[in-house]
Amino acid sequence: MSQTTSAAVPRAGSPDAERTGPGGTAPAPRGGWLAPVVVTIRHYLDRTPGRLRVVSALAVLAAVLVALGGGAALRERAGALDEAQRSAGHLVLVQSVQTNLVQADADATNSFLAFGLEPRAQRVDYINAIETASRDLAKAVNDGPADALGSANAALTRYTGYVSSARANNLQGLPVGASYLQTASDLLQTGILPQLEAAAKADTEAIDSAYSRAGRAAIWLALVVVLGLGVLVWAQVYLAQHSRRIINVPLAAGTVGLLVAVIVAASAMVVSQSQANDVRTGDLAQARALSASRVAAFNAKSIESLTLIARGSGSIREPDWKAEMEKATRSLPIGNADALAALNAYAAEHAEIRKLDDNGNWQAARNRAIATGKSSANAQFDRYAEQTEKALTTRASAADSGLGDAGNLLLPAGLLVVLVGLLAAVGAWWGISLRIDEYR
Amino acid sequence: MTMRTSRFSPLAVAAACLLALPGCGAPAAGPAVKVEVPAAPQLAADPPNCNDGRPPNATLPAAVSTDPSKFPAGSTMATIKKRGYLRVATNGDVLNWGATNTKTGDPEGYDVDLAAEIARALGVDLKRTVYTVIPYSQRQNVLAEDRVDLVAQQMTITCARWSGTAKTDTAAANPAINLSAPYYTAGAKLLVRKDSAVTQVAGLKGEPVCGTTGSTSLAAVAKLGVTPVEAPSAGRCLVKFEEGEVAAIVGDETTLAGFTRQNPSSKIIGESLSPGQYGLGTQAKATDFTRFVNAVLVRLQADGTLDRLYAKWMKPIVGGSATDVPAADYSRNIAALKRQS
Repeated sequence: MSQTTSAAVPRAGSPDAERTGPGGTAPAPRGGWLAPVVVTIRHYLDRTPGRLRVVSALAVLAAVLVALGGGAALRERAGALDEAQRSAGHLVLVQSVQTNLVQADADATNSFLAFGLEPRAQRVDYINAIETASRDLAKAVNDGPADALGSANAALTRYTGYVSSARANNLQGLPVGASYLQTASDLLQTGILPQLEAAAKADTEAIDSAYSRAGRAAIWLALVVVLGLGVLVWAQVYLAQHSRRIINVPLAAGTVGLLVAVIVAASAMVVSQSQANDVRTGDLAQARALSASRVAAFNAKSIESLTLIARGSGSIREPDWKAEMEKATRSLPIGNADALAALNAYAAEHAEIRKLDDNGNWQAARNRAIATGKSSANAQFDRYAEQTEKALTTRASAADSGLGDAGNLLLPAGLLVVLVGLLAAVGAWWGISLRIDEYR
Repeated sequence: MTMRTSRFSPLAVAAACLLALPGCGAPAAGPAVKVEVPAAPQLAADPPNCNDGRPPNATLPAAVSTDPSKFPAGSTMATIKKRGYLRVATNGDVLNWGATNTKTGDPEGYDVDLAAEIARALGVDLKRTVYTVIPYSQRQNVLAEDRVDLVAQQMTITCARWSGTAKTDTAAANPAINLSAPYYTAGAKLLVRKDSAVTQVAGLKGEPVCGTTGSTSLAAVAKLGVTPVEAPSAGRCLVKFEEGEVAAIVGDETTLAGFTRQNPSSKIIGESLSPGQYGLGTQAKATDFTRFVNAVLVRLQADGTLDRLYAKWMKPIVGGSATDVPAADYSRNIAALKRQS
């Protein structure tokens, strides 16, 4: 213990000596009530144990900062990923409403062409699609932008009313049925789908903002670590300079332990970030593209039927059909070769239907449009619809579980940082108090 | 009403042609033909004459002969007869005029029957007639593009159709076509609920009234104080009417007649607004076919076919006994008519 004293005296001696003189007297004449306090502090700092106590306090604070700040950053990132997962789940829900509604519309318009003799399967398909859409929409309204989705929900009630009127009039052979169906389709295109699209856009933006929140958490972690570990290292250096011992073991152990914990935390963050990015650019992007493709394709199918129902207006709606089909094809992600082939086969059938209708053979065109045989337009389209639905379901659930998994390591890592940080704080306090004790 | 004039004047003209003047109406050049027909009495509100100085209703002289065995080689009639069937554009959803029978898939109505009479006169197979359902905006295009021979679609005879119209900011160009002599007079009326006490447009002041986008009748009732509501087609107006969005529909009484059949809780009221005559449309270059159609119309008027069509399609709904059309005016001067190419 003898060397401690000798080590402390020469080093600290010169500045101490300088300050002792003026420190005790100079502030006194100027200071009012503050003067005694300043004097006390000066007096305290004049002596090595006093300064060591300050270093100890700073080191403890730094360790606690890393513990709590790092833990909070990891917690923030986990929260952001949860939010991204929630928004992605909502997006999937909204997209399900979109695709189910356009599917229902395609069913309603195509079966209208059968003039009362609609295929039973098509009717069942319509009812199922509407049921799924209503159920998902009710869920989506609950935890989404209520305004847009609420009005979409209200319009959906009117939509099904129009379709029912269209069907009832059609059964009686009244031409106004076609007008009801057109009104229903217009309502879907102007009063429901845009609102759903707005909600989907809001979800996408929420996902983006959750991702940037997650990105900011990494910056907070880095900041806290640099500051906290910096202070701990400085404390170590200070002790080394003021003693012959190069290393204060408890303090160093705490610092190194904390460094390891922080490295673990940073790795967890990197892993979660890359996993989340993979989901966003992979499964989530695929689900969105598939859904966009489906909406456009079903729209095209509806346009084909509505054109035939209007009888002879083919040349006018055909550009709309082409635009939707182009969108459906363009949006379809690579790797859906079967779906693409089916979509192309449908397009070829559609061309035949249009040729018949354009040549004045409406009856044959209509028969071809409502046929359900193996190579019929309906069968080809159904093949596309089934393929894309399967792919969409897979991608959507993969995106959901992927985002859930991405955050798995974050909370344990956060806990580790908190624990090790607190231990490091204890270590810093203990290590320095050993040095202080040597002055007694 | 002033429009109700002799229903038999076309017959008189045709008889004069057939009996007295062997060359009557034969040359395509209008001015050379001296068939003096008293012009139909015109309402003050009637549109002015077309740019050849003749009223809208003026058409080409009726052909001398409608005998299928004597169609001149190379004539439009000969071409159609050789093809074996007539191509007709009509409505698909105007009940009693041109509507698809959803049970049979066949179109039926006044215009469809009238087109069938033309086909019968041509001596072609009625069953093979190709009906194309087109929106109103395409009527002149389908003729100019040679997609159909005849448009039978409640088409009002106007100078704009005779001369064609150039493209404007709001409307596409419409090529010129030929029109037959009038075969029906129809004006715009109002469709209201059966229990409505309203009898005139004035009674609907401030109420929402539906009409097709850009229609003159909607503009007319709007001036009388109703709130206009536009729809892309008359059928869409019926939807709005049944959904309670509008109190009334303004439209051709022929169309409204079909609506009362689809909605028995409605009735037609009001004076006929801006009455106009329906004519059959033919291709601008096929003047021989226009004259053939005119000659067939003379016969259908004379033998009571038009009256039978009225009795079949319109009388059960709107009453009355016959269609009243102004006397045919065969003074159209094609050479002097300035047409959009």
